Amino acid sequence: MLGRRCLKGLLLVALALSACTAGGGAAPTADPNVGGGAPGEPIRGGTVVLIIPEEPTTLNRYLADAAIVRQVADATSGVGLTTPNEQGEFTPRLAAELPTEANGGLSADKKTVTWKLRPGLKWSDGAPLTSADVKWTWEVISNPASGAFSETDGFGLIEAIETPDETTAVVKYAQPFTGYLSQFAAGLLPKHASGAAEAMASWDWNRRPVAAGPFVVTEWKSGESITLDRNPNYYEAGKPYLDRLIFRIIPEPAAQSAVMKQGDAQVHLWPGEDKADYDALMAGQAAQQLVPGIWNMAIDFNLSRPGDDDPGAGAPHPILGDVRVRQAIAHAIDYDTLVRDVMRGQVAPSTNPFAYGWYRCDLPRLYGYDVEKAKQLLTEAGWVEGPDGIRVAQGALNAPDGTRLSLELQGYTSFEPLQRTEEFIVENLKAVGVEARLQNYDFSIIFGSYSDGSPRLVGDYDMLIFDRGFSLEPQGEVENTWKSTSIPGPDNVDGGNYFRWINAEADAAIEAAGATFDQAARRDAYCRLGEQIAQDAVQIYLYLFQDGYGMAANLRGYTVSTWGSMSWDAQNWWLDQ
Amino acid sequence: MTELAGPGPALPLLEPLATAHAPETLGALVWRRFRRHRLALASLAALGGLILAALLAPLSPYSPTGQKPAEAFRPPSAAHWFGTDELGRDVFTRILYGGRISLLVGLCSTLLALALGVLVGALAGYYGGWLDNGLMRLTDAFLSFPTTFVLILLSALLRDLPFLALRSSVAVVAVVIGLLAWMWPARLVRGLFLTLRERDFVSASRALGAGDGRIIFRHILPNCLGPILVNGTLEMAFAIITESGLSYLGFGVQPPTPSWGNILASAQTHVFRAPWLAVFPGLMIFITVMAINYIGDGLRDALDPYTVRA
Repeated sequence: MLGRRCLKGLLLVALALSACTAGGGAAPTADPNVGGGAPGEPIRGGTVVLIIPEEPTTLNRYLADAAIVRQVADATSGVGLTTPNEQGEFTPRLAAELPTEANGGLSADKKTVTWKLRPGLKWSDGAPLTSADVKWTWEVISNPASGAFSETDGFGLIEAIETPDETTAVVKYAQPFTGYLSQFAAGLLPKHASGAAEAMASWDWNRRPVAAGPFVVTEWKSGESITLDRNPNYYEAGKPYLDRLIFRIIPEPAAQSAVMKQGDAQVHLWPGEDKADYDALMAGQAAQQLVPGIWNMAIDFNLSRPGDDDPGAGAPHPILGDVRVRQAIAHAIDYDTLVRDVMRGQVAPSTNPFAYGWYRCDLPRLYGYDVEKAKQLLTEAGWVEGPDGIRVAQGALNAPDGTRLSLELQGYTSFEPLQRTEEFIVENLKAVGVEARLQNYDFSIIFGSYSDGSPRLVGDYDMLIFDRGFSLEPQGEVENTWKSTSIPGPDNVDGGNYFRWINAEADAAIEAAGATFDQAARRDAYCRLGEQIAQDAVQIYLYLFQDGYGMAANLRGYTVSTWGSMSWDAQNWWLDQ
Repeated sequence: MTELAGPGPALPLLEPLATAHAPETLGALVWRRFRRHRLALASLAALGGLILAALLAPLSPYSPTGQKPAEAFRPPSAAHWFGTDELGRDVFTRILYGGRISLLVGLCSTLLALALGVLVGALAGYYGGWLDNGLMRLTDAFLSFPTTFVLILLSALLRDLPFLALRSSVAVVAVVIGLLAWMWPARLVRGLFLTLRERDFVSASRALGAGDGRIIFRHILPNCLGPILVNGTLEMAFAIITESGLSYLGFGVQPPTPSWGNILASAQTHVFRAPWLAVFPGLMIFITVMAINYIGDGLRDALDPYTVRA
């Protein structure tokens, strides 16, 4: 029987030993994007408040209609077999390891992928997470009646999934799919707690997911906040350190910053202010961490006639159908001033869709800022100076004489940097005699579906301007956006080639990129596609946003990532006391 | 003017016939009484100044849409009285041009609302019966619409009509506000007509063979001008605030055309960095609406024959 003093001493020694060996402490680092500076041991407990500007409609990433869904879902329902890290490499999450040819996970013909789950996985409600859930996820997503439209690449290529035992899922593809590592990265759907595949759009699970992620939704006050508590069944022992995450919905940028400054929130998604202004405003309470984003701002042209009830590529656009007009518009924009003064250096110039990641192409800008060239091209194309400074058709290719060179420029509302960019472009175009009428619509209209009659997909627009980005595996989106077979129409409602562009060389490049697993060869193919897009002036790329996250000074353990979201590594966070 | 003191209500008394003055016209009477209302007078001066400034806007050396992005966010200075905005445009010039839009929209929508309202009210009040019932139910229906949402819906719908789309968004906004503001003048005019149609001068006109139209427009309506005018000023204040609100939400005047509302909308992201961007348009809306309200007050006091003032 040990004396009391002896016992206390032993306890102290034991505690000290355990503290020394406890994992998870961040190594000292000067990288501002990681953990916030000074090292320390993770402290268990605490609540972190995160500010989001809008409310996600769902936490089901397969139904994500806006980027905001992932910002919240990544902490709960959006955790799947793998997750891309800040380097753009996939890391195993629910999978025990990445399937490769070396470990037998990827077959020689590349059509069979064997996933091994970690042993003992459980859903947040305690039910076991097994390969049956992997199979179920595929069954739901590939069912056309489910309505899944986001993160669905590759599901249509899977022929079958075998589940020889509870932790093994053998995925058989009809043809090699280069994005196989990302196949189940957007989350698994629980077979026992979701619902019928046809009813996915109305599952309760979409708002209260039974999840595999570090946190689970316990309260959702629409318009106000979403509360997530620690998932006791999360697979990483000891994590998450935090007890609770609260996502507060605050639409006005000024109000968001005020809340951050008071210390009532620790994470701020996409602050409206520049880093310099933000850091000065926060005065040590928090700081803005910038990371190159995937959001690429570009102007898109409708090459076909709008408003003619024909969504296809049939009749050319009276004004934009002539490539010289599109080139002239490209020449009219002062790109340097846009990046340096209008966007105050917070963005990086970009010239093509492949501006980041392993598929990055450094293509030179084909039609640079040259007002004289722009005017000359327009005159050549049959557009002469009109009485009010706006050009009028006289011998133009597709427009009757007397038509004014007036185009509608559509963007989405409630994003001031976009509005600033639009006003700058309107002014630039006015200087060469093109009238651009600004017309911003709500997100749901610009990005609505074909059946909703979204002008973009139905083909009733002139020019669009918005920011868009790819995930780590771009092939699915590339095919859907630039292939000539992807023009949206009544028999192709999911088509995304809203420019109505048909280019054989582009098609060939897209097919080449999808035909091999060799990243270098794929990248070259994407660069050829980028060159075709630039040459035909289908789109004009302007700049790439940097993602800004406001992070409180006492928050530790985080890493901001181009490929992540505000909560992608929330299991690693802790609060300094 | 002789002071006649004595018992009884102090109604404005007529001048004794013995004096050599010409009888005072209604306009002069109203002006004299209006002048006594100091606040209303000051507001009239302020509004007059604003209108003058708005009219003289083209005299500004700066263009309302001319951008100089390198000079963004300059605070107020001698070169830029109200500073520059996020694209380097002169804020003072934009406020002046925005004032033109706001005042124009205010005026046009008020005229539209008054025209519609007076017509509906006159018909309902004069004829009574099922026409009155029908028109008043229509008025009630319009009154029960949630104004903001209907405004947003209407402005989105009207935007797509080909002929209106050729004009600027300003016309759409004016029409939309006018279509939702006619109910109050309608009720007012109906009430006035119900009272006035029983008066002797109406029966007299009818006896002399005057038709309905003549009675309505030549006899009854001129007697209603006072209250209609007062109501009109209040409508104008409502219209200016509504236009600012719509433009702020993105449904009214579209940028780059400046309007006080849409200047405010762009200013809110920069409120910490450049507060003057939000202060000035807000101040202008405030001053204009206050001035119009006080003028309305003053007019009401001046026109009302029962107020205790000589």
